[in-house]
Amino acid sequence: MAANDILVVVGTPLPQPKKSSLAADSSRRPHPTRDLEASTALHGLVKDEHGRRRFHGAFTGGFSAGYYNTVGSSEGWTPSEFVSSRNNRSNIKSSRPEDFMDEEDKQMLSDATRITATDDFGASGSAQRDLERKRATAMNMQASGSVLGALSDNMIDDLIVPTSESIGARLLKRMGWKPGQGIGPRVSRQQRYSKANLSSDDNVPANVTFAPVDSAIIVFTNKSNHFGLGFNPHKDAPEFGVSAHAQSESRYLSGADSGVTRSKLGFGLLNDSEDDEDDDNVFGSGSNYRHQVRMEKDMDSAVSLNKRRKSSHGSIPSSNSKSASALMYCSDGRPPLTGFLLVAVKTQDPKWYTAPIVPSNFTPRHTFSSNGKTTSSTKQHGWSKLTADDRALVLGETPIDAPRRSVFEYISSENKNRLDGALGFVLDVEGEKHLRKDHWEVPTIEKSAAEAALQGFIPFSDDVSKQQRYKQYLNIQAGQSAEKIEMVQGFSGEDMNKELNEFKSQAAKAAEMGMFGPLTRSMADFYPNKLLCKRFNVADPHPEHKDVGPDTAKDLLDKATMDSMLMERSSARFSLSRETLVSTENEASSITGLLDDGTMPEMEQEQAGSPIQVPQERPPMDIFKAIFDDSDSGSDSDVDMDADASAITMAPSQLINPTSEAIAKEQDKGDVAVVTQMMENGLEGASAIPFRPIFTKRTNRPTRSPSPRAGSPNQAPKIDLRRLDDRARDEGSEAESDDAHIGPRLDLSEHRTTTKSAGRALSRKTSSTGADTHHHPSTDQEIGPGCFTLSSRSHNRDSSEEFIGPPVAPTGAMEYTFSTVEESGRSGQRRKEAEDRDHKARRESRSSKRHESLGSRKDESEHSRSRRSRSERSSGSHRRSLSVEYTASKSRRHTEVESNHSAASADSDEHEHLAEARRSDGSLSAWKSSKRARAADDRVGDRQDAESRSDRARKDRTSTRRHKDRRSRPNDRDGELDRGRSSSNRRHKHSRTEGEPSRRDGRDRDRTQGHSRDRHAKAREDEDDSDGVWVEKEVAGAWAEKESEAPDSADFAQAAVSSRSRPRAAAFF
Amino acid sequence: MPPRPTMSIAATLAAHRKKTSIINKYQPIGQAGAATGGGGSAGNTTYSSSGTTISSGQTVAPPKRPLYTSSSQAPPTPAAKKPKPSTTTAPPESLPVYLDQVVSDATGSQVNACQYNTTGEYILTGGVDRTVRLWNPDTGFCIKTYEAHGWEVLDLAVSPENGKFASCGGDRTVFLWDVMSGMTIRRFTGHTQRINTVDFNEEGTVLASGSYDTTIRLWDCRSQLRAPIQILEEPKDSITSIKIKGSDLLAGSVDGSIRIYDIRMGTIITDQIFEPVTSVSFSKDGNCVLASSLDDTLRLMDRANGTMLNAYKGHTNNKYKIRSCLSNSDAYVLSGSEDGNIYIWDLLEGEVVHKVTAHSKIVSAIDYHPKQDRMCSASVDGSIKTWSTRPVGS
Repeated sequence: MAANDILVVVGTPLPQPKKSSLAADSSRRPHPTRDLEASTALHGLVKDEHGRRRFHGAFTGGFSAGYYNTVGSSEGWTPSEFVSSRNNRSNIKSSRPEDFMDEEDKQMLSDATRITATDDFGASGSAQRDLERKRATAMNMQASGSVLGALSDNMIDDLIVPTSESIGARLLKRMGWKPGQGIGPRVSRQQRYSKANLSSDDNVPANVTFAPVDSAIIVFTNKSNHFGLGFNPHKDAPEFGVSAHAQSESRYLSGADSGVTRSKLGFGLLNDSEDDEDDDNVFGSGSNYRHQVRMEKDMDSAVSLNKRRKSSHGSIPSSNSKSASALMYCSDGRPPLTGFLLVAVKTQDPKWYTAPIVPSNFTPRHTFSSNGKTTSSTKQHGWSKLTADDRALVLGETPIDAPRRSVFEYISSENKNRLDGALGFVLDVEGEKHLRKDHWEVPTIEKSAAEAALQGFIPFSDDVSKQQRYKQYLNIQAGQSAEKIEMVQGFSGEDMNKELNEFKSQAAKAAEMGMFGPLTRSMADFYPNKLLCKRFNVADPHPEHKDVGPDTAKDLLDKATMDSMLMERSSARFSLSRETLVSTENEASSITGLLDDGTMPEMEQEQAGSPIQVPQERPPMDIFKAIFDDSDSGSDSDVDMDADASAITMAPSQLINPTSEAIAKEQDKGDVAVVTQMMENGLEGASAIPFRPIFTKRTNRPTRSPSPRAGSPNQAPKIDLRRLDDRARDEGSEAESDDAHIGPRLDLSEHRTTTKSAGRALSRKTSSTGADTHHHPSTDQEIGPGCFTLSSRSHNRDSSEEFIGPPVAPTGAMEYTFSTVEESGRSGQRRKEAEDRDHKARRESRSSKRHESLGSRKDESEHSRSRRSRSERSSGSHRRSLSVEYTASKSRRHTEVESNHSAASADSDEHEHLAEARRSDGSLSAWKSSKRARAADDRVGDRQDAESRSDRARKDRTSTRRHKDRRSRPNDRDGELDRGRSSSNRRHKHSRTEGEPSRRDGRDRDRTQGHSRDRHAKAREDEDDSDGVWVEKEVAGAWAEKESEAPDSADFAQAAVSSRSRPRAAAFF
Repeated sequence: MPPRPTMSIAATLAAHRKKTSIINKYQPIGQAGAATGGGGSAGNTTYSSSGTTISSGQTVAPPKRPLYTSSSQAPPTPAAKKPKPSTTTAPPESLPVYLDQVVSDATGSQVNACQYNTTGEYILTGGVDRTVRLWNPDTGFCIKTYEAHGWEVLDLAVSPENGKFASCGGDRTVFLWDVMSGMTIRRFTGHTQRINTVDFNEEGTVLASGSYDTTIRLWDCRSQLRAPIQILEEPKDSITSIKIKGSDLLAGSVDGSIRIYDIRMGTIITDQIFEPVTSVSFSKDGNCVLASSLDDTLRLMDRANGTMLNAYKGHTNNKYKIRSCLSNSDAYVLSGSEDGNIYIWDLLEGEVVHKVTAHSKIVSAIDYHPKQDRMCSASVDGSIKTWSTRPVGS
């Protein structure tokens, strides 16, 4: 600022602001004085430490409330000092709220306090106090429940009279008033008490006067608001009603005795009494009002008061008290509403007029004249009678030439009259007729009704003549009789009418009754549930009725239901096994003539006597028991397998081969005692060679001398022969053509059998090879339930094979047959050779099987099965070449099954085995197979030596069992027959697999051990294998087979594995 | 006119009548006997059994006049006037018209069903208090109270061996109770509406229940089947009453028809009566069906051909289900009424023989003692009373 600047300064100069006083020293505690100085200096405004002006509200100081925003003073706020109370105790005064109030607060406090008169001041105050005391007394009495208690509480209060009385009270006392008395001139006793009390106190002199009843003064308030009567605007918002309440409280007395008090109180007051919250509604107060009125009437107090007032007013003379009191009541005998007065001068009564006199002939309701005549009123107006035509006539109009409107207009007057007479009762035109004494009318009823009434109940049984008339009447009405009703003697027309009407009503009733019957009845079929019939002990009325409604509960006892359930189950099982078989089928291998053990002649002899049956069902349980009983001997039992399998699955498709064999046998040997032709249907396709199941007596068989016939047509390779042939062709030697897989063409049952038989064959093979023992020289006998004797075509040995199998020829079998035929046609020579082989193999297998079968245990069969399957797998090729073998093997199997006596023609068998093996191993080189076979043989030998190997052990078991069985169970044949019957097909598939001996042996062993270890164990564990288990096993077997499908190299590997696992397996044994 | 098959029934009933030694109001009619015989020999196989009854009756008694006289018959000979039965005259001896015991006074709640057990020793009642009570009718002592119902009890049925009983009601469940333990043995659920009526078959093996849902369900008491044995769905409207006799299941429905399910024959016989049927019962011989309907009428229908044998009027029943029954002798028809009285009709004459002033309100249920001439009645006013043929004290 330059010095030469001229500054004009107006007003007080601003003080120099301290530098950053606000900003820098924000933490500094504001000093009121200093700030004051500053702010005062500036604006006289209060600021906080941040320099913001503090606003306290427009009405509480604005920006300058308090002492500059503090509670302090110019000296600052200082708390009261601590003062020890030790010495000056008395000086200590407790702090009151006022001590902490500033002047403003005190001002507000003083504004709030109002100066009011004390209770003692004024008459109303004393009265209120009295009432309060009374109320307290009453309450105490109520609470304590006894007068004494109440007294004891209030005695002192009663005794101690307040020293200061209101001036009014003092004045009243001067005037002679005493507390407890009413105010007013003394009254006579009559006036004092109500009439009821009068009688009790008669001895009081009449001139004695009494003080009036002390009653609260009724103060009537003007209704200054616009609310409805009894409406309390503060009911739900009491906070707004405080002032009003206080007002009313101050103005009115609240009663001690609510009833009485209320009765004294004005109507509007009722809402204010706080102890009657419940009544605080419009209706409640209404009832209170009523109550009040009644109370007043009873107590008569209001009246007296009014009386007094009136008398004091002097407007009504006292002599008129009676009329005055009368005036107090309204015309209905009630006192007027509070706040209302009855008028003194009555208004003039309205004028009453007497009711007009009703003429005596007046009837209060309108009646139509009974005779149909127009009433008088209508008579007066003549027009009603005139029709349009009449009017036209009257008017002289020319009538319109129109056709007449009614039929009656065509009728002559004569006839009209007659008609009127006839229809009179209906039209009721002639009313006069009724008046005539002798006239009567016949009421009509409908004809059908009359008939019905006649059918129904006939009343008037007590008056027969009347009943007769009734019937006559009905007959007439029904048109059944032409007579007329005549006047009954002694009857007036009236009587007749009466009776006839009665008849009519009776007839109607009877008709109603008669109505029920065929028309109202309907019948329908009712199909009671079977259970219901059972419960009601009645036969099913509709046995043919099958339909069961959806709503009705399913009949659990229904046989059909059960059957269907069973079917479901079995079919499911069947399908499962079927799958298994299919899977294994491809691997099923034909077994070329490794098995050549013929049946033992002795055994055959023994068996020969067995009955020839062809049961088709599962063999009885005891057979199974017999078979499965010893679990110790561990030979593989094909029979078991077969039996079980056949029992489990459907055995039907298994018989074709047996048939052919049987035929062959028959042809070959010609010594068949009994030939039963079976399954002709199944064989139809085989036109060239009829297959017939042949039953051969066992007795004949063993004696038969082996008559080898090569290439008997029946023995033609049966399954997959074509392929076999091809292979054979390709390889140039039948022996080596075994590779082909027969599978796909085989039907289910065949598959199944194949697998099993394969397994069996395996076992058999093993046994036969291993044990090398049992080659049955002569005949193959398969003893099945049906005792089919099938002549094996291969006749290296003469063997008559008895085939066991169900006589059912399934389609698969058919197919089989066909192929067989073809085969046979094609390659007789090959066949021959094969047959030879087969035969041997068969025999072998037979023997082994025999062992197995005889010693059949479940576990064994398990073994065999698995083995079989494996063998099948491995020997799929064999199958082909062994089409012949099939039969052979089949028969073999059967033979095994049946013939316990397996005369083990071992040697040749052995060779055969080898040969077969070599041959059968079509896919591999012959040497390989032979080698393997040899190896197998060796192994077998080893096995025999060392029992530790399971295979061997098994085989041993088998063999031993075989022997044992042979010895011990010569008659088992039958049971086995049964079993075998069903499983013949299987069996021959078996035999197929059996055809390849040694090689399979090896493989089998391995596989068996490798895969069926567990199965072994399992089989052992559950001797009573259920079907399901069987199936399971089969599956396992199939699996095993699959595995074994691996190339031969794999076989070796497997062998290794198996050899490793062998000990384990052996452990089972 | 050919003799009507109903005549055999009438004769049967007349025989019953005679058995009960009622004043024979019927004078013999010459043709009546022949007609009766004709009726019996008419080859109506249905009534072969009753035919034997008739013949035996005829040997003892003069031939009764049939209930129906066909027009082809000769007119009956005049006879003395039959004394008109009236309520003023003394009731027939066998009528239980005298108050025997007030089992329960009118303080209780409405009773819907009362039922003697098969021996008549006890009374079972059920009502809107959702309980079933077992009473001693002689002393009026409440022996047991069965509580399980959640809704009012509408009907009861006692099993033939008296060991069990069934109750039904608003809770759409049939309760099968054990009398001794007071527990429910079975609860049959399946109805979709309240169940109006329940009854056992004669062996107690099947329970039939009729419901507002218009179905009859047959429940098996023997097995543990939860589902009904069979559901009968022919009725078009609420089932009000079911009675089983032999192999006949009789059902009355609001659709105005009476149905007889003949399980033995496998037929449903439907008789239309065009009025809502509230109560049905078989006569003792099973040849007649008594049906109450809401037109103030009871009808006695012939089971054989559906004709109405008689109609009984005089009482009031046009709103409520009121049970009716026949006396043991089949001589009288009894029914409650909405005017609080019990009306007793002569079965043959169709006249009110006696009117028992029983209750202050609707007589909802009556049941005739199975062996003696007694009956029990229950009312909407909650009272249960028994009645006997003699005044108390005599």
